Amino acid sequence: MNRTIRLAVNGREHSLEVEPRLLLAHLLRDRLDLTGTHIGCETSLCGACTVLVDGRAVKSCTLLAVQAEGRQVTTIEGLAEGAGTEQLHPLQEAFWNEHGLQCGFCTPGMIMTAHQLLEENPEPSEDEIRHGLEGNLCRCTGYQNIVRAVQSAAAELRGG
Amino acid sequence: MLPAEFDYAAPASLDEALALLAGGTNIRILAGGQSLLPTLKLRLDRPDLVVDLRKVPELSYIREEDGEIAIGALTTYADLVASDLIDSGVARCLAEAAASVGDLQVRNLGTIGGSLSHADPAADIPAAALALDASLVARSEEGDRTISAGDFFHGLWATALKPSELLREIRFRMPANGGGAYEKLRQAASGFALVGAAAVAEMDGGTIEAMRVALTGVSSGPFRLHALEDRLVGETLSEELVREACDKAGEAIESPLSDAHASAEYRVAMAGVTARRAILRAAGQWR
Ligand SMILES: Cc1cc2nc3c(=O)[nH]c(=O)nc-3n(C[C@H](O)[C@H](O)[C@H](O)COP(=O)(O)OP(=O)(O)OC[C@H]3O[C@@H](n4cnc5c(N)ncnc54)[C@H](O)[C@@H]3O)c2cc1C
Ligand code: FES
Ligand code: FES
Repeated sequence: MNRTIRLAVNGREHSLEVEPRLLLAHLLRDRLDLTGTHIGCETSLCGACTVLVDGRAVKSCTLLAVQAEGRQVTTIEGLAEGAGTEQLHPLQEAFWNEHGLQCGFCTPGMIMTAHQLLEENPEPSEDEIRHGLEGNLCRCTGYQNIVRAVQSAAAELRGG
Repeated sequence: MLPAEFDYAAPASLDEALALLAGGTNIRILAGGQSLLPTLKLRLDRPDLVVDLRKVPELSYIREEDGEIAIGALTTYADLVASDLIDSGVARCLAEAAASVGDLQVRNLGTIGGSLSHADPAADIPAAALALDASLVARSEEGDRTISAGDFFHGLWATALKPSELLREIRFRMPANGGGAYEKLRQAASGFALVGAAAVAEMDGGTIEAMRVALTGVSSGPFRLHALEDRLVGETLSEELVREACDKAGEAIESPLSDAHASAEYRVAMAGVTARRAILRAAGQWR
């Protein structure tokens, strides 16, 4: 039986009728047209679908949309808007400047996970970054520039 | 990748949740969903009704009461890792086990109650629960039933919980002279334990007063190494003693797992190594 849920996505309130089995990833992409959240493995392993729910990184392919009822969901689109129109978030700037992506498929998920990481630890070591991003796989970069991008964004966010 | 259709309820109280469980068959409880959702998506399981505990108040807490720690079943790995209380004494084996689970995203959602109830043969938390000699409090409409961790695990994905029960709380003693540790050899692809060892020690100066060691990942379920524990209790702690006792630890494993990730011989050999490391760190906190 369908249910009506209310949730906020990127600061915007939505009221949507959903099947209980609908995954949050599909709600975001297919119902709200927020295709910045990618679906890679669909099996909870790659992290491409990572979004923030109440500020915490979760794999949106492994969460029912109904579980997000009453929550604040942030996707990659909301990060840019949050920092002001046309203005990218420092993490996005840093991935661009440090060449932290090649095909870009993993990037939205990487950035959302890194977002929680930097909220909790503004000055992470290289090891802490690698450990924090364990749930996000990249098939292109070899991770070096991703780590550099997170370090650079951390410095920027600290005002350095 | 959609699960098969199911009905969904998010009861607002424990009593309401228990009434739903009592009122039907083929019902699954949903906690963090980090095991249930992958199972549903692969359609390995097709419940008629999913009962989501997210609105049930009073199931997520970490408290110290009368020298015991009580943890609500919905407490997440992230909550455990962030707790100073769990990062101390014997409880440290639980903190280290929780920190070793999966990745940040999984730790944000996965719960202690979900891990114990799911009883994956390679899960980390069950080994810690055994080493802590924890009491698991199940609740049904008939009231509470306390099950000791030693009686809780019944092999592959099976526990002592009845369909009408949910796991409500985990409790264990916090002795003043205790230390705990968890050691894990990860399977490179999944991060699950090839071998995991949890150890809890109670020390009187250099003497081992009590020792409990449990393994996970090496056979059909987690289990205590009673013979190894007996060999250590009453002795003076030394690296040679622990090394000698752990050399044969692997022999206690009944039908060791052998799969694409590691042979039985490797798991047996590594069981002794991880047990030794865990024991030395658990006891060493008190030297
Ligand atoms: C990518 C990935 C990596 C992982 N790596 C690890 C790892 O390294 N180590 C590890 O140990 N685990 C790992 N896991 C599994 C993870 O720990 C799960 O979170 C945990 O096994 C289940 O907890 P949950 O709260 O998510 O439960 P759910 O998935 O919601 O439920 C799991 C099962 O337990 C039942 N259940 C849940 N709560 C209760 C309750 N209170 N009472 C009765 N029944 C209940 C459910 O009905 C279901 O059958 C991993 C999972 C993923 C997706
Ligand atoms: S698509 Fe969700 S983890 Fe890969
Ligand atoms: S940039 Fe291609 S997967 Fe990471």
